[in-house]
Amino acid sequence: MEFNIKINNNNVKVTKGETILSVLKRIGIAIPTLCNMPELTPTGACRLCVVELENNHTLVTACSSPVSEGMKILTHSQKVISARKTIAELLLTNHPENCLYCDKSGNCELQQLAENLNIRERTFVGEKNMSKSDRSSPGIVRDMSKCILCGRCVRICEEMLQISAIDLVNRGKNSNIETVFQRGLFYSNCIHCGFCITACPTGAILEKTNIPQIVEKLNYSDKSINIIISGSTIASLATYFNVKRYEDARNYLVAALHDVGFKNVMTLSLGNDIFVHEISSIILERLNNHNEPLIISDCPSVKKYIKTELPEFQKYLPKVPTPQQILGKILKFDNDPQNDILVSVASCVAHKYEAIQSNNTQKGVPDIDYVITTKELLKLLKTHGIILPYSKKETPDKPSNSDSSGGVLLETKGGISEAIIRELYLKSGINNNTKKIPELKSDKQFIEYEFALGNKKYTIASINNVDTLRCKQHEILNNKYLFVEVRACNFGCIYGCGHIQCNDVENYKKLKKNILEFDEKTNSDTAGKNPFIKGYYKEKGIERLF
Amino acid sequence: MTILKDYTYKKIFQSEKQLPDNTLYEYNINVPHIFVEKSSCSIIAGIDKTIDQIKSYFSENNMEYELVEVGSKGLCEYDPVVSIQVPGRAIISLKNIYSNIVDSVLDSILNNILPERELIIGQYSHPELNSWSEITEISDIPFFKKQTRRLLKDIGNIDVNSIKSYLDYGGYKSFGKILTTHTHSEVCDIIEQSELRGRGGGGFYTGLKWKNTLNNNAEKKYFICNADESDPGSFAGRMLIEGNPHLLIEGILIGTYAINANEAIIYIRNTFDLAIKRLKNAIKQAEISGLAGEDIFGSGINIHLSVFASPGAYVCGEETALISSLEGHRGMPSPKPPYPSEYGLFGYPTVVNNVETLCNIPYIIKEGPEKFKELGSQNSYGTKLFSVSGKVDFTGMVEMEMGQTPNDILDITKLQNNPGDVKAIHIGGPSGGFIHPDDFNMNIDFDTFNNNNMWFGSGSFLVLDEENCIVDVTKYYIDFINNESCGKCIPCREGSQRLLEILTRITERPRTNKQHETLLRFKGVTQMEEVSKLMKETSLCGLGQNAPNSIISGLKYFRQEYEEHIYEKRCDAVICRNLKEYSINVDNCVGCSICSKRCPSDAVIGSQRTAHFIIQERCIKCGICESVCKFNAIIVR
Repeated sequence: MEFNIKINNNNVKVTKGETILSVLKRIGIAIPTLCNMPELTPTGACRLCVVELENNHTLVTACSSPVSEGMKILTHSQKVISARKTIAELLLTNHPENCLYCDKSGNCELQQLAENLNIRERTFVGEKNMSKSDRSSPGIVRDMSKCILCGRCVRICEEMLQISAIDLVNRGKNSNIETVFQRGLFYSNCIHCGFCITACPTGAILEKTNIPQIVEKLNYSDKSINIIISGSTIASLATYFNVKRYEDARNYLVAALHDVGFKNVMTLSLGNDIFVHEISSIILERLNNHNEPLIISDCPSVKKYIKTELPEFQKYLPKVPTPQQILGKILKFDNDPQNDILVSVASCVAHKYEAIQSNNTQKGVPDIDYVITTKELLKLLKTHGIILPYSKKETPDKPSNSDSSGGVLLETKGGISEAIIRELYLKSGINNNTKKIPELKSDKQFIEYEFALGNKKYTIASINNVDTLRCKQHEILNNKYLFVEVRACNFGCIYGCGHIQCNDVENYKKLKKNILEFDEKTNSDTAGKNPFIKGYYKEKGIERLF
Repeated sequence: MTILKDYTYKKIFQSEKQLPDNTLYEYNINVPHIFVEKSSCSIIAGIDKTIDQIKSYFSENNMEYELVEVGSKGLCEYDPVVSIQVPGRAIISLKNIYSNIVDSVLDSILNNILPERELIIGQYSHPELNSWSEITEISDIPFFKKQTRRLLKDIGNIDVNSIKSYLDYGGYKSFGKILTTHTHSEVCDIIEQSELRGRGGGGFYTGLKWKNTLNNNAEKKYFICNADESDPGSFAGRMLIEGNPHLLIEGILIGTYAINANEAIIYIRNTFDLAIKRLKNAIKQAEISGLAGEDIFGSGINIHLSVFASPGAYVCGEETALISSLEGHRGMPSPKPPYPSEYGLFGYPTVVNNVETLCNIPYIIKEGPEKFKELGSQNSYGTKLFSVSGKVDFTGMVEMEMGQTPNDILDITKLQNNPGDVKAIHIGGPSGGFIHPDDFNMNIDFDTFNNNNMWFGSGSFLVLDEENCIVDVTKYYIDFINNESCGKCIPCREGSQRLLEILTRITERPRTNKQHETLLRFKGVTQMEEVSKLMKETSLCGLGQNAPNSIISGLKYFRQEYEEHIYEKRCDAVICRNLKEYSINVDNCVGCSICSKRCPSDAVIGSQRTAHFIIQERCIKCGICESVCKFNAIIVR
């Protein structure tokens, strides 16, 4: 049903059921919001989006109020503006004013709000929230003194993931966001996916940085420091610096990192290739009798989720580590582990959690010493004054100089499935013309795909977001699929919380395009064509490593 | 416990037997009957010990007797109240019966001798019984005479543990009436005609709420009774449940029938031990008697009653917060729309009604909406319960006709003292505001209060006199709001914190006289006005919107007092401890140096036999010097 309402004395045609905020967005009137996130239910907590309704003594929130007939809305009356300003002033009174030292500075919604509302002096004076910060998680730091209690992290954890690792506790001025028994994220059911980092408008939830340790090692250690960069990191930096081609960005970055002081610069695609090689061998073995489900994931968050929430699924996870840890095990322990320091640049904070797990260490030496995110790498580059395009290009160091494009593709949505299917074709000796599978690239969170191998047809599933996994667990247990690919992030690793401009769907699309273009042009399209893998397994004389 | 398995439909719904009003139990008795008013207030006064003593008295003397537990009639000042009926004599009601005087009182009464006069409240005469001479009738006592007791009519007469007693007073007849002769929408119509408005504070029309929910064709509906009364100074709902649990249950049954629901939940504070116990007992009795549960008296209607002991938060009195708490979530309000009548508990249409509202329902059904509307003023019909406390002679619960004035309530409760002593009345608990003596003839009804931006809420009525400090009382309520705010919306959470800080600042003597601190104190009032306005306009729920009422009304009527605190650093009521200044009157001081020895912070100095001196910087305002001085030499300002 359509009808007219008046917004700032102009007639606007609206549909029944729309919220005032969505109408305002459509017609291009900007009002400040803080607790609102488009994909979550509106709670009306921050009250910044208030608008004035005629004949209503209170102001109403645009995010939660549906339009009704005869509404007369004023979005920027003096009453509304002063109310918004006072709310923001109240928030700032209770906020530590150390923006200069805050990691979120420049990217902070609260800072932006204060600027937009022209708050340039302190009005109220009072006690500040002195809550402690939670540093228990290896990937996520929650500094609750910066928290404005908008509840976005709580809602994203509850509504999008159905995990609820954090929730509001206490009342009134003691309100706080805490984990179970207030023991810290590490001891909760948090899967370290980092969705809360992307949701937080201020610097209250941030990734834990490892840059100071790396800088110290670069300056004072005589060990050789090597670095692994993931494909999504390269795509992310390429998009950030506006470098058109993926391989250009990669080669600039390798040269730059050599100059920063890293001895060997390798790409994660090598690990991805080994991962695909191992998994496809397992699949080939069980091609004829897949009487048990097989869940494939290179995502540490999914592994933690299955461990805590769906323990009956644990036996369906193959014992192959994630690509990052495969590389760590191969690169570090084939040589003398004491001589190397291995740094990995990952797409999210879950890899930081993964690197400290006890099964990822050997004799107390971790496979990967430090994990940093793309955002942190960018900071390191900035301190060295590096911008892309860099003055020179270098190819990645051995052994990752011959990676397949399938390995890079792995980090996109549906990429694991596509890389494995290609490998299965190769291993079964079938020359397949349709090497690209666009069905797996759609933005849906659950994709079923059927493919033929020989004269038999197989169905696979690609799942993004752990909540979808929980919803589909019965289908998986019914053993309908040859294998199931699962990832925690909605659009695969290229949408991880560690990227520059994370949580921006437009940015994600650029990254995806960048990687797909690279895949389109490259000949070496699957793991089996990687000469290193062929040689490595032959040298060791084994079929499978794990 | 009287279990009424043999009570048939006919016996309950069609019997003509009904005891006259204001009669305790049955008059034709063979053994002495002792009626103890056991409710939360009398438990505090020590009724349990009194009951134990009564039991041991009778067992020691080997006498037969009957002990009947009744609810409090509202005269909390006189607790513990015990009424005694000796066979053949009228019931006599006694006050302040502590355990140490039980024996002597029983000795005299059982021998037909009156106890001391100051223990007697009055008597209930009956034509068939011998009255006590020179004892006033209970109904003639001014406290009761000027009230309009409609909901409280039977409280104090009904045995709270027995459904039979409630049935004897005509209970469950209204429910029987609608069950046999009325359709769902007809019941809604009757309530709509009565123009009954919610007594929880909002004043929404109950009939309209029910009708909206009835018209919603959902597969399931819920009826919730909100008994989560938790404002300081308000106890009406709790006393109603404790005094007459079946009245509430009958109201709930009618309401549940009216919206065509099958499930009713009573959301009650977990700390209301006695009320929960009596309510659960009453529900059990109603179920055994076939008044609730499956297929009520063969009508095919199922109504399940359950009690939910709430974890306890002030904000859970707000219906959306209450519902989210019932669902197992954190009790936080959510924006309306959607209203609970469309999308309530677990997504089903839900009605949430206050205890007092529901207790009005049986009367309306029984007597008809026209009779109900005989009392009250325009748009606010019926009666309202007030929980009176503060500087009055009779703290307790009174029931007044809507549209009466604060003066009328003071008339009843403040008998001896001069009403002119009253400085202000704080009405409506933390969400309410102050009333100035000039407005004591203002009608207490929804329209008048709405027009004046006031709110009487659940009816707490706090009387303040010259010894109370307006700023301090306001600070108390803002502190309460600050602790009880759910923390969801910024205006309420941050605003109340800042308001409390400003109030604390102006009730303290500044540590330094630096310009910065002085300026902050001076800015206090304007900032409070700004924040109050913001909270009123933009808060999410009623709690936040009404939270600054105390400040707004306080600044309106008692600005003078705020200014004294801020500019002159003076609290005339000498309540704000940190504004006090102790000094020594040199003329009176003999130099005994007791104060100097007792001072915990060594603030009093001086040598023996010469006048002493107080160092202000060291003084912690504990007041010990004042209490130990025998020569009135300490001046408090």
